[in-house]
Formats: sequence, structure tokens, C-alpha cells
Amino acid sequence: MFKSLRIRLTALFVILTIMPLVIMGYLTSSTGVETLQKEAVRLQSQIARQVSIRLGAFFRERQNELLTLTQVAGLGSLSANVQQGTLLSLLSKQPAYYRLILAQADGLETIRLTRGSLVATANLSDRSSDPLFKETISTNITQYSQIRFDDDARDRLLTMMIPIEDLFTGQVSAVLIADLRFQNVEEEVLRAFNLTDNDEVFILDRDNVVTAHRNPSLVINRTVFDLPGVEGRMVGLNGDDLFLATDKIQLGDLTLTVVAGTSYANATAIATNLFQIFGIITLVTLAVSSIIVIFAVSGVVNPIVKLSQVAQAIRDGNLNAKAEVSRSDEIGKMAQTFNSMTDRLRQTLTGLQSHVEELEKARVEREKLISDLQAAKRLAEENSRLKSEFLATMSHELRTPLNAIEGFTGIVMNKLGGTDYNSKTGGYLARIRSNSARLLSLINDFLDLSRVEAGRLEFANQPFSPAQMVKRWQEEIGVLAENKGLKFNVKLDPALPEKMRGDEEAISKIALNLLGNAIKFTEAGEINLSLACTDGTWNISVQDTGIGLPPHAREFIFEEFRQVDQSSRRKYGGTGLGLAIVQKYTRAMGGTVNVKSELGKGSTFTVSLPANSVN
Amino acid sequence: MFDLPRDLLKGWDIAVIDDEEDSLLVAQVILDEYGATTHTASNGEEGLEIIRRVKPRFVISDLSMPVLDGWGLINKMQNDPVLKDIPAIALTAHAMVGDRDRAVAMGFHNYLTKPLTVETFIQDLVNLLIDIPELAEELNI
Repeated sequence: MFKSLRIRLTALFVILTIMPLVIMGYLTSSTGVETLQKEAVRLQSQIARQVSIRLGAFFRERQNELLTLTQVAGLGSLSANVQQGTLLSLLSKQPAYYRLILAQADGLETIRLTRGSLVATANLSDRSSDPLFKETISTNITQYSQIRFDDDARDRLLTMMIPIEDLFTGQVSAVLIADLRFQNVEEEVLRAFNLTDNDEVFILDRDNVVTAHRNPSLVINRTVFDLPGVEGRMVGLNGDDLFLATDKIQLGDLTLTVVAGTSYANATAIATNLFQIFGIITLVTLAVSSIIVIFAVSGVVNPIVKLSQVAQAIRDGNLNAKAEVSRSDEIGKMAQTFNSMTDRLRQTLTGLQSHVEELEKARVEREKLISDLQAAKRLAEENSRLKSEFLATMSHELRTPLNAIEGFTGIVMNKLGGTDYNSKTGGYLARIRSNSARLLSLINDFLDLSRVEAGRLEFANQPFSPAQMVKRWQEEIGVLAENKGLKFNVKLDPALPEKMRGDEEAISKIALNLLGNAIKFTEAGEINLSLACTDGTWNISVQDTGIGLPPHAREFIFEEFRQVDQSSRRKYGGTGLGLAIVQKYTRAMGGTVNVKSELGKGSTFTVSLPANSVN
Repeated sequence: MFDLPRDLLKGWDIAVIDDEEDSLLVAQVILDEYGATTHTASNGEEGLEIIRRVKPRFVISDLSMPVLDGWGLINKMQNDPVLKDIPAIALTAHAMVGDRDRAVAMGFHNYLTKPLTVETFIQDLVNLLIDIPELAEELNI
């Protein structure tokens, strides 16, 4: 989730905006609560104090009132009627009094005035066994009873006993007993305080029993409130959350505890409000800042997102995609840079494309050229083949009648088949035969050449004896050399193997052509043939002492129909095919021909051929 | 050649097969000169017919012929139990080097190179015939 830059930035900015508010709100509220708590406790303490003061004052007022009656007005010495009237007026004047009783020192009541039943002498009782009464008699000090609930009064009553001293004896002669209705006391005391529903003030007796509370049922049920040791926040009587404070009053033996409390919620309402206000401010700020931040972040992130979309489009091949440049800030600059980068890329690609197209064009052209060349080559080969075939056919067709001429001339010359002739005819026959032989030789040479050129020359690879082969050459050439008066020397390598593999006839054709040429172009001297086989190579060397070759002739003597010059052709005859055959055969067999020659001194032709031993 | 007796092949039937009439005639004149009876044919099919009919001592056949060439002829002779023992000599063209080995491999006894030369033909032929025992014995040398 936080991988998104948008969310990260938004969260960061919002947190930065809200954090101080939250901290401030919390600190303010908590400080406020604390202060308010202290203030509430102080206030309750004051209230308790004032209530206890007022309560004490009320009772002392009543005590003084009664003391005035007894000591100043001399109630004890007045007549019964006056006593009764005085007490009656007091009862009517002060609503807190429920009952006023005058009792003699011996305990017998003489007057008993009860509110709502004003017959003074009815229901008189004996007080002599009343401990408080006895205490009053013995101590001659005003006594306060504990607070008790009286069914007739339907209220809590506090009895105050005032001793009446005999002026002469100094003894207690009577006791004025006043029962005070606590309800009235309470009302009297609390009236001065503007207590709200959130506040409460109640009074506990010495046993921590609730003696005054605005909820009477608590009093009637004699609810006990466990007074805490300290003042402050605690749980109230109704289970409320309260701030409480206490104060004590001592009235004779009577000890009362005033408890003042106010609800926590009420006391801290301001702080709570403050907290709520801060909360609202925080929420509003959150909302507003969120909107602002979202817009601000979008302002930053959206261009980046757009830019990345453009980058994606470019990645997917749309090189025309453009980043929007509507800003002048860093993002705008980035978009600009991005666009110029894309432009460069597009230019480069276009350049590359045109390069590729050029290359493709060049390749197509080259292929066309190659195929043209191949076609031309095929055509040339075909032409060459057709030429060779034509030559072969022609040679064959020419050879056939010549063979017949040769055959029949031979038959006649040998007088076979019953033929006969005279000597003159024999001379002509010999000339016919010699010419047809030359023609045949010429045609045979043609045939050989055409085979080589047609690539149809196949060489045998059969065992043969080199010595035997040379012997046949000697037989053939020896006669010719002898006829011209030339010496024919043969030099055989002693290391020549007894048997070799190869095409004896082809090798012979090469050698015989060379030897024939040597004889043809040598008028006097010798012909030397040497045959060696070293390192898998035949070396056939034919040396003569003939006319030799001019240097420029070496360039063309191996071409067909070429002789050194026309005069040479006339003088020596021959077709000019011999050396061409030698060279073509040699090359077809994978060998080489070398020539060394000196004009007028002779020539040496050396043929090197790859040799295969029998093994 | 003239050292050889004129009755060298006396009484022999010889079949010569060639599509060149002149060539046939030259061969016939020479062979007849040495006492043989030469039967000629101008293609393999005719040759076969003659061979079957006269059962010659040996056969000389050109290789390149119409209808049935020399290769077809030797093939048929080889596959015929009656004819397969009759020696056959191939006539090969001057420069057909490959044909010579092939001819021997296909069943010809040996070969002679065209053109036939009057002076050398009979000598070359005898050199071949000497290698064939059953014929060599009967040569009237």
C-alpha cells in the first residue's frame, strides 16, 4: 500500500499537519482537566467548610437562643403559663424546633410542646433515666444528642439539652430540651448555596451514617458512606463519579462530617468541551489538509505518473508519445528532457531504419548480382558443355570416316582381301595413310581437350609398373629419335617403386607429348628423359637440345593452337595442341608443369604429379 | 602381322558387332584373311541373334550402338547359360578410359581400342586370345 508515492506523500503530509494539533489538543485538555480537578476539589472543600461553619453557627444560634431564654429571661423562675407561652412563641418563631420540653431536675417533664400537637401537658414523660439528661444535670453543660430518626416527626431529630441553673443554689434545677428537625437545619444551611443537580452536600454522623442527604431514602436506610482518607476524585453514594471534600463539626459530643461533592463530568466539562473542540478542529484540519495535500501531491505525482505512462508507451513501441510540458518546474524540465531524449531515440531509430533499409537494398542488389552471376555462370558452363559436346560429337563423326580410310588403306597396302597395287600406287597410298593418320591424331587431340574442358575426363587409379611404362615410351620414341639421328637417354630414379597406382595412359599421354615435341624441335643432340618419384610426387623431366623458346613465348605456348610463330608452324608442323593437352591433363590430375628454356640451346619441361603408391 | 600364319583362325566362327559398316568390313577382311568365318551385325539385337545361331568362338562388340548397345549385349549374354561362356571382347573408343575398366567388370573378357589398325589388330587380338585357355589351344600358331 505504501509503495505508492502518492499514498506515501499524502500520509506524510497529513501526519505532519495533524500531529501538532493532536499533541496540542491532548496537552491542553489534560492540563485543563488537571487544573479543573484541583479547582473542583478546592471548591468542594470550601463548600464543605462553609456548610460546616453555617451548621455550627446555626446550632450555636439555637443554643444561644435557648440560653438567653433560660439565663436572661429566667425561664425556670417563671410561672408555668408564662413558660408555656414563651416556649410556644419560640416554637412558632423557629421552624427548626420540633419539640420543646421543660423537665425538672428529677426528670419529670412539666411542659411538652410538640409541633402539630400543642397541648403542653399531654404525654409528659420521665427523663430521669435518659443518659443525656443525666449528663446535662451532672455537668451543667449544654448537651447534644446524636441524630436519630423520629417516626412521629417523620424526620431526623437532634436533641439539645440546656441546663437551667438555680440562681441561689447554683444547682441545675431544670433542663430545657429542644428537639431540632434536621430537615429544617439542612434547608436553613444549604439555602445559602446555589447547589445544582451536579453538586451534592450531605452529612455523616460519627458512625459515617448518612444523616442528611437530599435523597431521604439514603437517610431512612441509614446508609453508610465509607469516608476516604483523602479528598479528591472518587465514587459517590449513588455510584457517581465525583470530586469530594469534607469538613468536621464538633457540637458537644456530637461529631458531624460535612461532605461536599460535584460530579466529575460537570467539573471537567470545560476541559471535555475543549477536548471536543480540539477534536473537531483536528478533524476539520485533517479533512481540509487532506484535500489540500491530495491536490498538492497529485500536482507532483500525476505528472510523474503521466511521464511513466508515456515511457511505457515508448517502451511498447509508440515513439511518437510525448510527455506533457505544461510546467516550468523540475518536473516540467524532466518532461522536456524526456521528450528530447525520445526525439533523439526516434532520430536514431529512423537513422537505423534507413541504414537497415539501405543494407537490405544493398543485400537485395547483391543477391540479384549473385544470381545474375550464377545465371551467367550456368550459361557459360552450359555453353562450355555444349561446346565440348559439340567438339566430341564432331570429333567422333570426323574420326569414323578417317578410321575407315585408315582401315581400308591399310587393307590395300597390306594387299589383304585379294587387293593388289604397283609400287607407284603404294607411294600414294602411304601418303594417304600418313595424312589420315595426322588428321586422326589431330582429331584425337581435339577429343582429349574437349573431354578435359567438359570436366568429363576420368582418371583410372590402377596399379601399374613405372618401369614397364617407360619401356613402352622408349619403344615408341626411340624409333623417332633414331630416325632423326638424336640420342635418347632415359634416367630412372633407382628408388622408383616397382608398382604405382594411377592412370598409366594419362601419364603416358603427357610424357609422349613432351617427348614428341622435343624430337620435333630438336635437329641435333640429345633428348633426356628422367623419371623420379620423391615425397609422393612424380617428376617427369624432358630435356632437349633443340631450338628453345624465346622468353615471351612461355606465356602462350600452353594455349591451344599456339606455336612460337607461323614460320615455326610451317617448318615443324603439328597442331599446337600438344602442350595444351600436357598442361590440362597435368592440372586435372593436380600437378604442375614447369618450363626452362634458352633460345637456341634447348628446353626442359618438368611435370610434377601427385603419386599414389600401391599401398 | 605377317609373321602369323594365314590359317591362324581357320574354321573359326567369329561374331563382330558394330554399327559402323566400314569398321565391320575392315575387321571382316582382316579376320577372313586369317581363315576365320566372320559374321557381322550392326547392333546388339542382331548380334545376339547371330551369336545364338552360329555359336561363335568369340565375339567382338562395339559398346556404343543403337537398339541394343554393347552393355546390353554383354548383360544378356551373361544371363544366358548357353551364351555366357562365349568370350566377348569390347571395342572401346579411343579416349573412353572409364569404359575399359567397366567393360571388364561387366563381363567382357578384354578390350581393343578403336580404330582398328590393320598392322596391329590381329597381333593385339592374338595377345588377348592367348589369355583364353580354350581358344589359345586351338590357335594355329
